Amino acid sequence: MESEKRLVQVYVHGEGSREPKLVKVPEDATLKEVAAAAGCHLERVEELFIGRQDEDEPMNHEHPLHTAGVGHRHHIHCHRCRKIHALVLYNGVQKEQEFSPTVRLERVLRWATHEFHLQGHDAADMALFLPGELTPLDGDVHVGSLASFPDCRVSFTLAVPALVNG
Amino acid sequence: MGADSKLFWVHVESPAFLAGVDNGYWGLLQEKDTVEWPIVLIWVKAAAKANCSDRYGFRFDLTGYPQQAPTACPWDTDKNAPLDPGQWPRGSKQVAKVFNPGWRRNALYAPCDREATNGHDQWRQVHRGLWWESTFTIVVYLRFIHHLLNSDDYQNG
Repeated sequence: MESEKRLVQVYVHGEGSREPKLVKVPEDATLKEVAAAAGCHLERVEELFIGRQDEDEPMNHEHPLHTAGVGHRHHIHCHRCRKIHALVLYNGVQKEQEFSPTVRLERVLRWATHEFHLQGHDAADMALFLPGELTPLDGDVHVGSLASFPDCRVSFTLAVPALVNG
Repeated sequence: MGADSKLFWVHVESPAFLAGVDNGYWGLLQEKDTVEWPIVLIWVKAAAKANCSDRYGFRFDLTGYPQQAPTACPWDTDKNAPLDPGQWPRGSKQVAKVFNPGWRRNALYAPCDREATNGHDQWRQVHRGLWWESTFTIVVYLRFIHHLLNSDDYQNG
């Protein structure tokens, strides 16, 4: 019976929010059903990119969670963009790269410090900021959470966060 | 249960807090029914470092939460007492500033700490995302501590 199915919780990231939703679904739910439970663009759910955190390839919407390798309290991402175009500005120079929406900002930051040839403490001190913002972005935020369809791009500034001082 | 503690427990059930627990970033040191509000003990994971704990306990005073900012200090969970200053997290830059028992032993020098915001109005702009607002949750404070305890500054300081 439907009511006797074991339930699992899945973190669902997506457009419009830096924080995930935690949805409770039957353990044999398909990825499409998980996306629907999280309210991910229900009008075009078939066209969504659905992927595991930090993985580049999308998963089959019709696959049940266990087939897709998604377990209890795992993180997935649903997005209308299949790739996010990230632009990073540092010292007046801009670098660009495409990432899967599922990628966490810690990977974008690693890529950016490498691209700008920063090493050691110089690289470790850096953080990503949205243009005009003074608060460094958390490394666990998914890059897709900061970009919207159909633009599918996000701009960052690479800088050292202000020290707590004075 | 007062409004402040009710909201705190709602925030403990939020995806942002639970994701931190699932990632091994932080967790409650007490069962809900042993909490003597407004004091809550929470641990935060730290990066591996010679002769240092891989996680620190913190004693949070959540009076007036979330209208008022929390205040917290490192806590010795074995002795149920403030952590000896010699065992506070050490670093060379930001970590040394924030975890500074020479400034206060009952608080952290942070824009999201109630004790530290007094007299630091300039932080309101410079640290806008950390300067406590009533819309914030305990996760803002925990992410700040967790970031510092896993930074290059902490690991090499």
